Amino acid sequence: VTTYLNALIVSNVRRFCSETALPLTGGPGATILLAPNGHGKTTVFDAIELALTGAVRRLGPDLDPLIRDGQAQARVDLIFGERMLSASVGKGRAAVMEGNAGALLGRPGEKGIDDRLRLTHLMTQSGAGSWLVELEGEAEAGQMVAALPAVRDVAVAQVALEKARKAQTARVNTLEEVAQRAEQALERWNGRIRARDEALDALAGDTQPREPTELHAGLVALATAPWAAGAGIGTEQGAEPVVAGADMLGRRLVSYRESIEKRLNRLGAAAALIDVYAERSADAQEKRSRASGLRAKRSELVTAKEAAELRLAKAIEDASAAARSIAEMRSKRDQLGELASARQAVQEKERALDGALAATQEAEKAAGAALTALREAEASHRLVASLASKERSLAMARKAVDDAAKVLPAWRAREATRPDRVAVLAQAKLAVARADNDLDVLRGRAASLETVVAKTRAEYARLADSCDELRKAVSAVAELLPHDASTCPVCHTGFDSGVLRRRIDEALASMTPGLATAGASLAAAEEDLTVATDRVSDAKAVRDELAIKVQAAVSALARLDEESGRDRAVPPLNGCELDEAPARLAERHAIIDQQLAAVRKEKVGLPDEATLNAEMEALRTTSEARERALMSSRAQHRHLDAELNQLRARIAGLTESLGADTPTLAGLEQVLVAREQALNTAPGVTAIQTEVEVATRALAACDLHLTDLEEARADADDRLRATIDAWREPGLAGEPSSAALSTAEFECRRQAAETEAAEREILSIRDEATRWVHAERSKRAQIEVDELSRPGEDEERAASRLMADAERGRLRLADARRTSETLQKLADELKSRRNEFDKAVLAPATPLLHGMLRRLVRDRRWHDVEWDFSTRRNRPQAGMTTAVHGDRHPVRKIASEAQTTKIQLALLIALARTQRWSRWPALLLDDPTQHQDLAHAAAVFDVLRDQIVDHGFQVLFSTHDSVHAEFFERKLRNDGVPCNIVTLVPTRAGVRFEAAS
Amino acid sequence: VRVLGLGRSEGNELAVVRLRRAGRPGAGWRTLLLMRVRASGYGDALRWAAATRDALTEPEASDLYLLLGGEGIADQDPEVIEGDEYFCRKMVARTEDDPPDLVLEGTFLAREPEATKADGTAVLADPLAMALETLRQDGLLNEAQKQTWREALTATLARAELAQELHESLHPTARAE
Repeated sequence: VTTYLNALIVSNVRRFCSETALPLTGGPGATILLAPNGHGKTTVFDAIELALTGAVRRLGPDLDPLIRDGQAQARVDLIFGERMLSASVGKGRAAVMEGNAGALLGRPGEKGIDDRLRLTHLMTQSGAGSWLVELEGEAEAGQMVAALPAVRDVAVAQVALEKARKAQTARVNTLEEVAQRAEQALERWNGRIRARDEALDALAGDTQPREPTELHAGLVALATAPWAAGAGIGTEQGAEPVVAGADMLGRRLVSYRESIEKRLNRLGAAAALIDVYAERSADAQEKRSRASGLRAKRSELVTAKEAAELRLAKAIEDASAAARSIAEMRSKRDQLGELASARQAVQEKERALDGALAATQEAEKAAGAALTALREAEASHRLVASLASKERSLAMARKAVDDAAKVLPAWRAREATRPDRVAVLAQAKLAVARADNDLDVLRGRAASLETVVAKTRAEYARLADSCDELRKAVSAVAELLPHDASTCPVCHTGFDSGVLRRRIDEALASMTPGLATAGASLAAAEEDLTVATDRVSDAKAVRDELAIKVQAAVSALARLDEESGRDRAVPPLNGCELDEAPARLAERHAIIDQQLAAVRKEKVGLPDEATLNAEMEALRTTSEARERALMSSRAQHRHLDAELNQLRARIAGLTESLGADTPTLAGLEQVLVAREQALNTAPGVTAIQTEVEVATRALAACDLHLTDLEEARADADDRLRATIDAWREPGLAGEPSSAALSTAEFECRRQAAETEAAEREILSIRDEATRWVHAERSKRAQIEVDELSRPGEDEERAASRLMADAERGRLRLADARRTSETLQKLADELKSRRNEFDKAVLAPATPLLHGMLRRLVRDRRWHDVEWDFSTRRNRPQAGMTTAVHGDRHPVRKIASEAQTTKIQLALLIALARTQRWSRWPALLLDDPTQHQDLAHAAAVFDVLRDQIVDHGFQVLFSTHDSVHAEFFERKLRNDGVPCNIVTLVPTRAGVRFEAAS
Repeated sequence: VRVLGLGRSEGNELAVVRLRRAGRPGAGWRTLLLMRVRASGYGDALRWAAATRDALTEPEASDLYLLLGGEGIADQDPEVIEGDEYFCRKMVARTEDDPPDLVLEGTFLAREPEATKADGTAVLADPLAMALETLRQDGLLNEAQKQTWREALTATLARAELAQELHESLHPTARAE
């Protein structure tokens, strides 16, 4: 069920007096608090906050400033219908609440409404906990959201969680190291115990080992043996160096014995080579003998072949000389034939050239005759065209003269109006001069009246200021006078209120006549000035009208001059004046007629132009045909002439090539036949060629056989060398033989027998030295075991302790990891809950917020503000951003005070409308239009009126601006919305609420 | 709604519309002057608004609105005109492309978005308490540990001190160590 506030009663809160009541609408409507700054408007909102929450956020825990000076307690009562909420504050004490605001306004059983009140009801001007707060010097819209548990506690917890998680991570890392160290200590203990026990086991034996120095000396002696190959035994004489030296000598000895064994095997393999060597040696000797015989035979074949080749070259040279001679004679025979043909062709071409020359001369005569006839026809045509053109020009000139004669009457009529127009212009100019004179006189009078008015106004202002000063002084004196005395303590004059008021009235009345007289003088002077100013305006209007007439007359004369000039410029008139024009036109007419007659006389007897054109076309066709025939004939002549020249040049070339002693063609033919027969019958070349070929083939066969034989000999030599190499490989010398082999085998077996005693000694030394090494290890392990044990602690207790340490480290690490996991789970859970707040609170309000912003702020950049949450210096922040040039910027950085206030108001209304948790729909607005001019405040008033009418809100609205208050009241009244304006009136007893008249 | 007149003056297109709330006793008239300014500029519109306001009686005169558009005011700053507090509240279509309802969105004729109403529970709900309760239900915390964690996380403890407090509440033996 909706409830509304019927009244607010404040007692001794700040400057308010006791028991003063603020009447409210008790339903949807508005109460407008109107008072100047410092009269207690904000205190009213503090009082409501105190009664509802028991605290005033902007004051913090110290509520003493709420108590009026000289009073012990302040009290606030809120009356909702028949129920009341109260809060009282005593000095140094917290507020005492009566009634439960949570249960009254929220749901039954609810306790606090602190955060929600500021979220959906209350918009104060400034200070902590309001919508507009100072954060390190920057005002942030919407900061109130940061104070909600959903944002505040989560943000604080998230920051704390992050800190705790980092510390816990460090703890886990430390515990990991501790656990690892404990494990390592236990592992080391076990290792040392095991090593000590194993060494003690290895020391067990029946005989006492020799001293390490003695063992070292034994090794040094062994190292001098040949099989040791100069192995160096160090001077260090401990047990471990002796073991290492024994191992090294053992490896040398084994290696030496392996090499002996390997040589014996290779000597066994060399025995088979003795028979192979004998066989291969005989084979190589036989092949060397055969190759020597074949090389002697080849030398004989080479000599025979070279003799045949010499004879063949001589025969070929002779045949070539004969062939060249025959070729030369054949060429001369061909040239003589060609020369005869050319001479015959020259004779034929000379005859054709004569015929062409005669044809060309005929064609030139015909073309000349046709061209002459064409030139004569063209001359006749030009004469006839010239006469026709002249006749047309004369006809056009006569028409122009006739046209010019038609212009004369209009020109004459316009010129007749000129004197009247000149007279009108002169009269208008005279009238303008008179109007200027009148205007100057009137302006001078108005200026002098302005001076008078200024002086009178200054005098009136001075008198009015003096009166105000006197009134203030008298009022101040009256305020200072004590209430409990009836005489002035200074001058001892009686001053009860009636007497004082009368004296003040008398003093003011004495000033009034002078002020009234000055006011009347000022009014009279201002009236005179108004009259004079009106006259100046009228005179100026008259003068402007006359000036327009002068301009019109000047324009009319200019147009007349322009039109007459155009008539005068007609060609036949040629710039003459109007009275000369008729005579000039008649004279021009006569001259044209005379010239026209002469032209027509000249045309008599001449053919017409069309006939002349047809004749000229026929003659031009004939002339062009004859010209083409002439050109063709000339081209034929030039072609024949060129061919003749070519033939003559060819004859000259052939004659020069053949020379002066050239035989006749028939004689040359006979010699040529004889030479060819002689060449064909010459013997010898073929037979000699056959001999050379036979010799060459025999030599090639011999070479082939010799090559095969040489390869076989080389193979036999290689096999022989390989046998010798294989024999020498195991260290045998000379060529393979049974005696050398037996000697080498005996030497190897002797060396092997020498190493067996050395091997036994080395093994003994190593065994004894190893026992000394185990003894050392056992000692060292015991020392480490003793180090890991604590004083007085036996091995059993030490082992238990180390195992317990390792187990404890593991458990502590597991605990720390479980804490880390729990912290992480809580961080995830908080993030999830925080997102739910966005969805449940902010997202539903955002469309309404944007709608409100479109109504309140016209600049579009504010229409799509978005939430922005962050944490700064571990403090939760809630702000808004808007888009500027494509990027998001904090509203506080670019919004003016007025824009910021409107954004806050839009947000308050949007959340109040979407989060309807309270049964009291109210908007408590402390001076929301303080930064707005009337035009922008009007948008706020329209929005608030709609919230009252459409959504049933009760509005408490404060302002210091009476224009805003009255304008808002009229708007509400126009829609029938209950509304009252209440002023805050300071009295001697304190500030009181008073309904405005 | 009453459309009192549509007309043309000095080339400007004019319309006068009067509206009042239906079904509300005592609701007064609101007067809208609509003007497409062609050539004569803002002066004519202002004179028209002044004459209209003179003709209206209070309190109706306080509900007078002038809606402007057209090329005649294209060279003037809309913000300046809308900030002019003489005679009535003014709204200017920024460009010829502005749809009429975009202009009306800035007036009492704006269509309000559908508001989703909630009962405020979400605002009051303590997310920290709910998150800790989830951990209790998951067996990670018991009731006493939950309370200890809440106090520690909302107190201003140093990092190591906070971590130690939370850890010891889960593992009391760690305190002895």
